Amino acid sequence: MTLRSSSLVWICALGTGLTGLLAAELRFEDRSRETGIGFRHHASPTPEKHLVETMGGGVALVDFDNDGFLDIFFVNGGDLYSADRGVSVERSQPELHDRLYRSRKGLKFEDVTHQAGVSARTSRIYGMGVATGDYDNNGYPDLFVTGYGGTILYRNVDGRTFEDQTEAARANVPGWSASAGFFDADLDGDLDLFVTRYLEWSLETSKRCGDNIPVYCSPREYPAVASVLLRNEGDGTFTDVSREWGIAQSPGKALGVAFNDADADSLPDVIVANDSTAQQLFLNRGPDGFIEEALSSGLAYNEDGGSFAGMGVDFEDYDNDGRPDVVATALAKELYPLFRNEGNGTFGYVTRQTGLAEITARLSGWSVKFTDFDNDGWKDLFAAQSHVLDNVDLMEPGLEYLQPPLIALNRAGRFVDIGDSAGPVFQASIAGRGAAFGDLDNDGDIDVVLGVLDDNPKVLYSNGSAGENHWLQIRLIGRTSVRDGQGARVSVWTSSGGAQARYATTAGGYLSANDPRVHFGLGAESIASKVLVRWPGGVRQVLENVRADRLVTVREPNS
Amino acid sequence: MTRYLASVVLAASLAAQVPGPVIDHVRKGVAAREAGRLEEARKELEAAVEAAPGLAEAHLYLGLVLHEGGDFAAAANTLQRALDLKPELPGANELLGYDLLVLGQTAEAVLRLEAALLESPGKWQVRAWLGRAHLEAGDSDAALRHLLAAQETAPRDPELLYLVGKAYSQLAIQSQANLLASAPESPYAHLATAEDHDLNGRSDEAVAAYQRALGSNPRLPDAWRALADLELDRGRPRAAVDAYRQALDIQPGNAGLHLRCGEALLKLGLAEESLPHLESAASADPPLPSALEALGQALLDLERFGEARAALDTALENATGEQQRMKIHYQLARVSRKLGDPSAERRHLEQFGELRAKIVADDK
Repeated sequence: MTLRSSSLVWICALGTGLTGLLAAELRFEDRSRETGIGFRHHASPTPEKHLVETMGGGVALVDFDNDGFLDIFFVNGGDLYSADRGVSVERSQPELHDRLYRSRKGLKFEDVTHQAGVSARTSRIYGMGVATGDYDNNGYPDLFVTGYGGTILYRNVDGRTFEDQTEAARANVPGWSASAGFFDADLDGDLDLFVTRYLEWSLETSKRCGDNIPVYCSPREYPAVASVLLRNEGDGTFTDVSREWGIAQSPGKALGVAFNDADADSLPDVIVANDSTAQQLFLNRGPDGFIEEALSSGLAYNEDGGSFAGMGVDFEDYDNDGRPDVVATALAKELYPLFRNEGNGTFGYVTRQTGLAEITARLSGWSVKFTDFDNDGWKDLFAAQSHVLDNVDLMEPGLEYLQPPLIALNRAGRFVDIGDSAGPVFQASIAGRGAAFGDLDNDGDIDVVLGVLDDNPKVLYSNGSAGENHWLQIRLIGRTSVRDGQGARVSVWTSSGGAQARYATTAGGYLSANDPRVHFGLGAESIASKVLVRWPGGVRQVLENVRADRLVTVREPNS
Repeated sequence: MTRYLASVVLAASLAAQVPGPVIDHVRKGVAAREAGRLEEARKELEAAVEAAPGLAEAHLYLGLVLHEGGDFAAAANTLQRALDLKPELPGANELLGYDLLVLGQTAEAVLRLEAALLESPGKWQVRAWLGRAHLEAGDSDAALRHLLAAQETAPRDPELLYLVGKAYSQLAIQSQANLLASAPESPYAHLATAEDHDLNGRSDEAVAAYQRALGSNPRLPDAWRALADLELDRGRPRAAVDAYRQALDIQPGNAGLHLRCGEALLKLGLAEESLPHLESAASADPPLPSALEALGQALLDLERFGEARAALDTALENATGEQQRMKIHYQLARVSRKLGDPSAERRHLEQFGELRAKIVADDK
């Protein structure tokens, strides 16, 4: 391996060696029962059918203790009740707590919620989602929890305990927040925080909908609201810069958020999935803040100029042309929109051309992710699924509330649904919501933890590394850039000429946070001929002839 | 009607040399009824009937008061007595027919209302009631005949519109039942079953029934088309295309089928294959704007941007509603971008935005 950077680069191999050489079909096994995870999500549905009840279920994969294995954090809902003092949210009962499970370096997990101090038992927040990132650059990933009624920022003190810094850090976002993500918006070396907000809604103003049969109200019943951008001041506090940076001027009905560099100007841009209104693309203009350019870029609507119920969103390069594309989930009959980045600041709607129209015509999705499950060098697609209305079959015969998740393999830019052969979990109908993606057992393939509304989560282990395909994972440690490397762009080349790129981020999907390590499938190639890391601060770092089938830790050089 | 009946009763009472006390009861009964004091009216008229049991008109007026009081059984008995005394008594059949219908005696009601219609052939309300009575008796043919005749006089009466719809629906059900009873294995019986399943959201059963119909007779273009539409709705465009192609084998010049087939192929991302179908649909005279729109989309997929713009421009000229114009402007903006024409792109996006804002505002 040759290091081109003049600076010292630390490369640590946690190699597992070449894995199984037999070709194998991609399969996922539901190992939930063996994990020791007792969490069950509580939406606490009411006869009033408050919309918030059908929207929660976030999950994060985060190595909070830095032992090299991903731990799991689940966001719970809460109990909605009416009392003399008004309607409110109750979280004191143990079954209503958020839960943190520490990996015991295998299939097993242990509940460390209360030792870590992240239960939210005294909060009045109906929980929704979670974002992860090392906002104070102390080497330990922190947690930001969203919900109805406020947010919670947990600072990871020492890899064992967290402290609630919401008030001290000025990180409380009022109203109903959904997905959130850390990213270094101003490239000053610390993580800022983008928090989507769904609707101008409260328990007090919640409407009852449905003429004869009560249903969850359409978002059209409530006004839009702007998302929030919190700038990290570098001293442990945040400042709401939504107005100065051009976010507050564009209200939406936001549920999903993802980051990448849409226009190749080396500045992180923001895609926001909105429910039944135009999608948003906030282009980063550096000192001038952000401008919302979804309409002119072709991302706002589907190909007919129609809006769709944007839920989850991901922002990655599915066709390996080096430019990040956008996929979102939507409701049945709307199709999951896939927008291909055409390289001139514009996107083309390619749902039909890529086979997604055929696959997703009847599907309703939430969390969604492009990731290479079978390590063949092409990012596949996974979506947590279920309709939003728990009685949709009464409204529209033929549609179903509960649905299995979607797994579609990427065959050189065209998607093929392999649910029939990928394991029983893809035939079992559930109310999927959040989903987090990462390598739980460090075997080189991407596993999935699915958050299920009002039910137990699913922990799905993949056998993607069991075949002949090779892989590479990269852990980034920033020096002048953010410590956890979020915002770096990693490109990998192989001797056959194939190239791929990924953006280092834990955001993307719906209400969830993913493995911060950057994963690549290399197909038959056992060596990556070149790995290029473009750090957010501008440093370009090249590694050559990197052996596959291992985790490589890359530290940012001094300059 | 009530004033008319009152005058009939009084005139008849006077003409029949009815004793003064009876006339007095009738007068008091009429006054009480007109003042809304039905109980008092009933008592007065019962006294009149008791004093002059052969006076049909008194029975008729008592029947009317009982009817208005909601005592339909007693009203029917009283009206029947009136008609027994004087079969030609005007208004009695109509009232009795209505009461019998309310009491569920539909066959008797039909007889009385038919008699009423002979008395007043121009009165559409009687026809309407007769139509309703036939409907309840299960004779949809007769019901529809009377209801449609009534509708000629009162074309916008909501109740009549409802009854006509109900009659057609019953007729359809009866017709299908006849079909299933007389030829249960015929392709048309399977087709009827399929459509019923389809209408009720039982898509798996509907597909199976369409396939049974087509197994019996593969030359049913309606069945192929319905099956194709259903498959498309179920998110199975591949199966839809197969079925549309079968329908097109039978009706190769059907522009609507070409359009649907082309759209299904487009959904599959097969723009090249969709093109001949969409071109065929777009060449229909008068042009189908949705075919031109889909053709524009296919040409856009195939990166034939100039031709796409031409098709979409023609689609815009022929567009029939704001929704369609909005969609076409959006597509024209996409094409203009591809053609490197920023001013056209901006113009179309502006027009798209205006129409979208209007449609959203109208929806609210």
